[in-house]
Amino acid sequence: MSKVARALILGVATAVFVGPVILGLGHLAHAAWGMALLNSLTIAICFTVLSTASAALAGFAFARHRVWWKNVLFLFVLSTLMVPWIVTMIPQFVIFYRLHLINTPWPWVLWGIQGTPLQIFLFRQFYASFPRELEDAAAIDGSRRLRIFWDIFVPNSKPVIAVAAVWAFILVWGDYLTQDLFFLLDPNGTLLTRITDVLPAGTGQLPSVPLALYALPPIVFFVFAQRYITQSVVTTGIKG
Amino acid sequence: MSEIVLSGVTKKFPNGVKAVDGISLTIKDGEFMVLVGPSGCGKTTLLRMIAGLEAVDDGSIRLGDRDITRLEPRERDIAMVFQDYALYPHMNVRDNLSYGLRVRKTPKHKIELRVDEVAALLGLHELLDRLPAALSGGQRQRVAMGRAIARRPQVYLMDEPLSNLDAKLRVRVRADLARLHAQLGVTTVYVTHDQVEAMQLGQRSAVMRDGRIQQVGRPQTLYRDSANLFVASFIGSPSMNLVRAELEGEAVRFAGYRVPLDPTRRPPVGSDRQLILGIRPEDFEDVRFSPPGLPTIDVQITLVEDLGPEALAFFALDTERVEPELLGVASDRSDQEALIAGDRRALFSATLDAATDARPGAGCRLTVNPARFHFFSAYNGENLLAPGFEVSDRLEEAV
Repeated sequence: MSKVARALILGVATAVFVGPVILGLGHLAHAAWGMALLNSLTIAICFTVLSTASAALAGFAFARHRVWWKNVLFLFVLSTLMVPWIVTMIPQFVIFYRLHLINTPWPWVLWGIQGTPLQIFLFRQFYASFPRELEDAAAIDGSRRLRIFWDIFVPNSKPVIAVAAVWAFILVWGDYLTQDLFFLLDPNGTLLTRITDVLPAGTGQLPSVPLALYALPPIVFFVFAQRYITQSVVTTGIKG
Repeated sequence: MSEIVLSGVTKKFPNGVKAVDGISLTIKDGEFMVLVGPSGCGKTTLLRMIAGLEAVDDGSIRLGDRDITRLEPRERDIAMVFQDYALYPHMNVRDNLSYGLRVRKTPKHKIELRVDEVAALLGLHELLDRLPAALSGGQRQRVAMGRAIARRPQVYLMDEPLSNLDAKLRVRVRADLARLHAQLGVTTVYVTHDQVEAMQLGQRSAVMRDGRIQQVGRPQTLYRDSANLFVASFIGSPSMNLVRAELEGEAVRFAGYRVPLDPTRRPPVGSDRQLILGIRPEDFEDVRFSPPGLPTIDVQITLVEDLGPEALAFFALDTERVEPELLGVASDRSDQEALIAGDRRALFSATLDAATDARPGAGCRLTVNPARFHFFSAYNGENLLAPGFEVSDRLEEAV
């Protein structure tokens, strides 16, 4: 199948899945909903892209750099998994408030740059099992470390990139509490906080149609990414 | 000028193991040098040190007039063919061949020219758009070679590049390698644990053991004038037969046999009477097919392997076998001895004429050629006939 045909099919499929979401939300719409959608997409995409890239680099360093203290540092990174997010939430809110970054996507950008321990762990484990000969061959061919990472490791990391990205997207997309807190003073909020605003007051009932539509983007993203999750060709250049 | 000079090169791993122990070796410009030895002898580590993939703890490496000891791999102007080929799996053959050139920012038209040249040299034209996953083992091996050749480096390093090929293909690729080296004339360092490969490919070979070089020389020198028991038993397949022997005037006595020595080949005067005698399997022959005048021994055949052009006969001697571990012998024979002899007796092998009557369980009269005997010190395994061997050296060591 040609690249054009594949792009066309993907485009149509995306329109079929994402279209109703936008239309459905647009049905409820006025301008504020558009801003909320934009906020949601911005924070989810920024966090997904940045955290995946950052964790890939960190994982590469933890797996491949030959320094004696890297395992100590890695254990420290892993140990942060044991600190519940909710414990650090208020201090972080205070910090971002003082930096005037509340009601903006910046907290998610900064969290993304920092990467997450789970993603770093995923990449580190993947790269630790990466054939060393490929790295050696590229070094002898003349590449420096960063180029080896970009030319050799990244193109062969599609499975772990897909897993890490889907995980990051879902993490942000479904995180009501953080969005509610960090967009506290924004009248538009994010799509998720806005949907909860249309709850019929005092009934406790959830608005099922908007929420169902809200769940679609991660599903589409997963459908798109899952073909890479099962794909791995990294050892096909090795042995006979 | 791409002569490689290793001076006292040492590599010590964090666990304290000295993988490479003060190796000094000069590989001449355009030479095909084979590093051969059993697993764990340090040959691959040494190759990786020349490549710059392992740090050198002590000593220096020079390439031509440059000291490359501390240089990064990319600065050394070398290319390497890996045991597992290490082709970039996401790049097609064309991109694999040209990657090193692209990294070095070679002009595009030059890259195309080089890829074409290499493809023609190795017959890769119809494979250029394929991914490594779509190639057979032999094709991957050729691409790996091509990737090294395309850059036109000063030195090729090869780390057991044939070990993943089947036996037939290995023979063909071996011939290809020899042809390529003759054609390109580039200094090549080739690592293998297969002594047959070392004998066939190397202009010179360095036999390694425990991080040290045991002997460097032409294949025939290693085979005919092995420096010590280790080299003697490692080089040659089947391995050299070894037995404890005793000098008795003009003869040597072993396992109840007394064989007169050849006047041209006898241990130096002053050698200890107790020694280890080495006889290559092909220096035995069935008496029916042997030239007259050679001494004979009567043996009881245990097993005969018909190899087609010749027969390999095994027979046990009524004496204890030379324990390989005692003298650091790299023989592949010990397991076989344990299986066939079933006791502590020494098991000898003899390459006989294919028409031999030798049958398992039957007696057989064999000739043996004393002009091809090898004599080793029973103290340290050194070759007593090696040029420069002094009895006093051996005595000092023994003291």
